[in-house]
Amino acid sequence: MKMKLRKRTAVAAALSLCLCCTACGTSEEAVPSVPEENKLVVYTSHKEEVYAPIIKEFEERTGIWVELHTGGTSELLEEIAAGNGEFTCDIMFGGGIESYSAYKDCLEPYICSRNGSIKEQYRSVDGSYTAFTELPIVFIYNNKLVDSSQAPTNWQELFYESWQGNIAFGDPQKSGSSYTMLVTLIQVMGMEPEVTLRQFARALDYNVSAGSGQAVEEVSSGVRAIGLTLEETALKAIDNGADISVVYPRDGTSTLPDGCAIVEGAEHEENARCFIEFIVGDDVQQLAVERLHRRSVLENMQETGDNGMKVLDFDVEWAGEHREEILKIWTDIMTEQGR
Amino acid sequence: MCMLTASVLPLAVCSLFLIQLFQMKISRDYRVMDMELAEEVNGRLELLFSEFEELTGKFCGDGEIAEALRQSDSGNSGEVYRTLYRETKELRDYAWFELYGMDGTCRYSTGTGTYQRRMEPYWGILRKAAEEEGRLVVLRADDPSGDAVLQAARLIGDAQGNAGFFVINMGLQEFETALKGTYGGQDGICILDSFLETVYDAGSAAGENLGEVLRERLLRNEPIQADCNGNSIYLDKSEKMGLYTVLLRPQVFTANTVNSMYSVLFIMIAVLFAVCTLLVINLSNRLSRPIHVLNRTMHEVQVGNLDTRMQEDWPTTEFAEMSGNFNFMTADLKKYMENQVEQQKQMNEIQIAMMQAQLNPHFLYNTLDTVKWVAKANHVPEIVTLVSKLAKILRAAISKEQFTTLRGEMELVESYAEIQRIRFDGRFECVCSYDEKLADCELPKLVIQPIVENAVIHGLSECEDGHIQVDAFAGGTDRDSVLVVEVRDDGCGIGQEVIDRLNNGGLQERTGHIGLGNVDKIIRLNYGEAYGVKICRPKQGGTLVTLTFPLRKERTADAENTGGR
Repeated sequence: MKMKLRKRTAVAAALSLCLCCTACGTSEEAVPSVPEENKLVVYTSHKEEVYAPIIKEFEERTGIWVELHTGGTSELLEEIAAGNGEFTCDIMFGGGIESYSAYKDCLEPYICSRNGSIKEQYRSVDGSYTAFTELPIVFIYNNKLVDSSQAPTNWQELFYESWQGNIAFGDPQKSGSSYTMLVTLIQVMGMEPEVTLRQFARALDYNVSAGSGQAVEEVSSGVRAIGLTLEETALKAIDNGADISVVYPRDGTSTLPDGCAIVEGAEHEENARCFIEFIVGDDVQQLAVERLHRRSVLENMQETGDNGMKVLDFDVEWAGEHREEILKIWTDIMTEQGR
Repeated sequence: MCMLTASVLPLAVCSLFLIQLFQMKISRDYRVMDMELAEEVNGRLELLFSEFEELTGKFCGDGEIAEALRQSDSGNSGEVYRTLYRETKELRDYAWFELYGMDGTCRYSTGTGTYQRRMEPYWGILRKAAEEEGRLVVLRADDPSGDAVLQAARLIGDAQGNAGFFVINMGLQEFETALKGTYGGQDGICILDSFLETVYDAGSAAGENLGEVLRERLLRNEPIQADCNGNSIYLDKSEKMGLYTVLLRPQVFTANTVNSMYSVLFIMIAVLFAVCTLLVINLSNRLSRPIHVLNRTMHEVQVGNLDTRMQEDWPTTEFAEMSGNFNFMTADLKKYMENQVEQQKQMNEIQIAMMQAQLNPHFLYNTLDTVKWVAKANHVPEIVTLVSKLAKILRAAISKEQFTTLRGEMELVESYAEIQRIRFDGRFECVCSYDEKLADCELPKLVIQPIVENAVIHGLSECEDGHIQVDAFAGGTDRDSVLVVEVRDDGCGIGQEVIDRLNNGGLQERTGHIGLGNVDKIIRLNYGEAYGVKICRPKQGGTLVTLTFPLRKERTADAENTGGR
């Protein structure tokens, strides 16, 4: 009986081997494989309509496979900071550059080859970021609820009694751009940060929306009469038929760019550099202008939108250093009121 | 146990093997079928694209079209449209067709609705088409505002240079139409670009988000074609288009099927096990138990227990017969043994009788009487005493009675002693004593006398003043069970050789000591080996002969005294 058993096992083994061979044979050629040096891991806080064409074109032109992870700016930067060293993240793409200066310890300094072509105020000094597109902060108002003559034209007007509780504004804890708006406000008002914040919080009637995109929705749907948002978000909404208008504050506004940086200890450094070069290349910048309603950081790029806009001198360093402090004050103010 | 494994194991192995083989064969067959299906789907798309290629080839070499595109106004648009519609008549179910100028504006379109479309000429597919002059390039569409998921573009140019682009757009609806009927309701299909981003998915693939899954697997260096939620994945590539066709087919042998097959197998094995166990028990009853019982009973007989019998009510007739025969045999053996013992006993009795009845008693009595009277008449008292005592002894010896009382036997001893004293002229003294209570104890006749005789003849033969002491008392471990008679003399002591001989039971051979041997034999024949004669030489000298008998009162209530006078 033992002999029979052995025989059977032998036959079974032979058969399974044959099967394996046939199974392997047919599909070997069809299956792609990606060598490690052709990969790139990108963390992005951009929305899909922004990153999708860029990533696709990058893959198509360079043959590098991009592994994408999405999330909020602060969330992703925290992850990078936490997993430093053991993570395989190569690129952080998106988020205001003031966030980048706060996390500069986890980022690899890199100055792209086109640094000279970038507008002077956006050129990175220490290489902790590379500016991607310029994002001016604008006021928006609902055309039906607000007449163009009544619309706010400077930052001071936001504190008018008539606008109290009627301003749409994203939560600065979640939205990098909202934080930038707070800092802009503090800078413009020139008072003690806490005082300004208190006044502003009262002006909002302690209401905040989830993000700057939400703020636009609130204004266009009439929940609030006016709002603060990025030009890009507003223009996109208008393009999609929202009945709102854009106002560029007369006393100036910040046009903080969003950035991109290589993560320290990136596994695919070569590819990461390639990516940064790509996004400050003419093609991507032009696409950003033509399709994405953004402003290019390059000096000679054609602009859409209001060219007569006044740009404030924004202290990025200060914003980065005092971020935690400011946000804490803000949170305290809000929790005091039970929000 | 052996039988169990012998029956269960082949079944288990056989079935497992069968299941595996079946699984492999069916899986393989279906795999082949599925691969063919995947290839068919791929083939369908490739066919479509070769038709697109042909179409664009016609347009892209057409000088008139090129000219029309170069002009910024829509002068010749009617003619262009007619050509466009005519050429694309067959294919408009599968795509809509557009002509773009070099600046990226859409000039002509067969799509429904009026698109004021513009595609960036420095970006995406238009850029690629410009780069790969004369070829139809295919890319996944990245324009979220449009409906196209896949685009193919070709540069239109003539001798004067490049004029524009021919763009073919395929949306979800168009894919559905193109691939209709190639896959079944339970299947899933997925078209991916060369970076494994989803162009189109349908059926089960859509629910699984197959494109994402596969892309993730690839980037993690995991095997792409591993199964996905009970479905098998078949990947096929179209080199021409740079697209992957992925077919998702439900597995023939799901985990459930295989599990149920194995469950059936286990149940069958369990049933077989039970059946085997029952069989084994039955067999045990019929075969091994009878044999075992037989073995045990034989062992009993071996150790001497001839009363054991085997049960005869076995289910098998052969065993019943065997037990019957065994019992007969044992009974016979017992009877035979008993017969032997009986015969032996009879033999002994005859021997004893023979030993003791050698003389006609009447003649002896009469003669002795006459001697006594003549002695009396002649006034010789010693002769009278001698003859009287002798007569007494002889009477006892000749009598048919084998047994006498202790009192009787003691009287005989005294008679004997009397005679010997006369003969040996007072050279010795014999004293008998016994417990009155034991007077009626039974013992064989003429057993003490020979001992005393022995003491006289051999023990005291050299002595001038000898003493013989005869004592009888009750003894033994259990107080009144043994009658002990001791004959002590202070003579020269018996030889060691004699002691040994007696103890070994061979004393009859020596003519000189017949008495001792005989007495021992008589006692042992009558009462068993536990009793008999023992001789020893006590420390103080002389000889001590000990006779042991079982302590029994007289057998018959007969008034006839064998002791008599």
